[in-house]
Amino acid sequence: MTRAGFIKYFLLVILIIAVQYFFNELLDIQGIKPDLFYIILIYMAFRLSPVQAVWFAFFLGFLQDILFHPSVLGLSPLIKTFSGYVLTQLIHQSVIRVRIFSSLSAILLIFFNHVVFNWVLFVEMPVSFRYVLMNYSLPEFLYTGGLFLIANYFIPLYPDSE
Amino acid sequence: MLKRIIDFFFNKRLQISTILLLFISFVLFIQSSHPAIRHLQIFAGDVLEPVKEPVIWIQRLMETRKTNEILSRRLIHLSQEATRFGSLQEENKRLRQMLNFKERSEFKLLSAMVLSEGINKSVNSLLLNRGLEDSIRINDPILNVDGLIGKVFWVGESSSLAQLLIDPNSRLSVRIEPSGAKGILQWYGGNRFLIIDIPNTMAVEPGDLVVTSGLSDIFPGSLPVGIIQEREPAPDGFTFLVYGDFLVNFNQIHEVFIIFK
Repeated sequence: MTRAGFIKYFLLVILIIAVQYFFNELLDIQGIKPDLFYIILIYMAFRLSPVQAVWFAFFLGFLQDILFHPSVLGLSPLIKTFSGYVLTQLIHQSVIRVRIFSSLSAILLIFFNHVVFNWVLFVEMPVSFRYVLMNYSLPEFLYTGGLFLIANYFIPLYPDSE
Repeated sequence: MLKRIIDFFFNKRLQISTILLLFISFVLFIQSSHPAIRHLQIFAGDVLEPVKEPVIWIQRLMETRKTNEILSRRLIHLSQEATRFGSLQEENKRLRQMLNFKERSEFKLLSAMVLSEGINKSVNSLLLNRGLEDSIRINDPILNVDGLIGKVFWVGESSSLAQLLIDPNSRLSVRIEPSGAKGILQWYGGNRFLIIDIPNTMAVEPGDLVVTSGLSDIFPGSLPVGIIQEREPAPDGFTFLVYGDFLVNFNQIHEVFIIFK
């Protein structure tokens, strides 16, 4: 990545984190908020080297927990680091270079992120997995996934096709 | 030999980084109540508080008109209530004097602004703009005009973290009025709660008010919490499982009050 590219992406990451932090309430629909950090992670994983992407995923998750979920610090870096690793592995598969497959993989990872996050939180609660899925994971996934698809329509995942 | 080791680490740096970072994340997660981790969280709150407060102030200013309308309506309602309660208070005072009851001490309330809330609907803690410099202490109860919200669970210099009643780890000793039945309340998803350990001999009905029992060292008694919606027999055959809704709308908490004990 060139220096100009680094500055551009750095500013973009800061901007999106600021939007999520300062305008969290405006993004709220019936208590559901999107995970913009995850969208950044997907885009940056396609632009960084594999090792950089994994470290970026960890720090992004860490920052997210510090800012938004301090009571479960560690959960977001855990899920995001794992997702970052999976993304770097997928990016090396030639099939994911086809736009539809890259978007589909990203969507599946967003779903995985929301399901695992909520499942871990509710594991000791007297509620069923289906309840958590329908009331928490699925609405959050649809919101984040929808925003990702909108972004993906305008900005391709691969920087070389921009 | 050394070269082979270095080559191995270099070639496997992605896998090694991933395992290392996953391990660090896991340790952070299982140690998230460790004081050092709490200090880190509070440090972030203290640093961000001066930046976030003006942004919230502008957002609130934009909402002022709508809020003003709601408050005006509520003021009319409250003034009617105040008149009614005024006479009831006088009557209560007279009766207390007659019975030699000591007047209960009033709560000292401090207002606080919510600086941030979670992204995920299921993680339920708030960052408040009050801390040690405002004499806030751990376990100070938090409420708003509708009812009890939670308690302070970590305090920094100028900010504090609140644990809400809708946190999966939260438990609360409550009393159901008018029967006086006592049980343990826990969140049941959404705005719903579950109370366990209510003996099935107690007359608990939908519409009954749930208040704090006063048995805990943290929460004073009789703070409103919620309304009973339904009940069902517990598997043990001796108790009820009682379900209800919280009085507070946890999706719309902007300002809260902290009780000084």
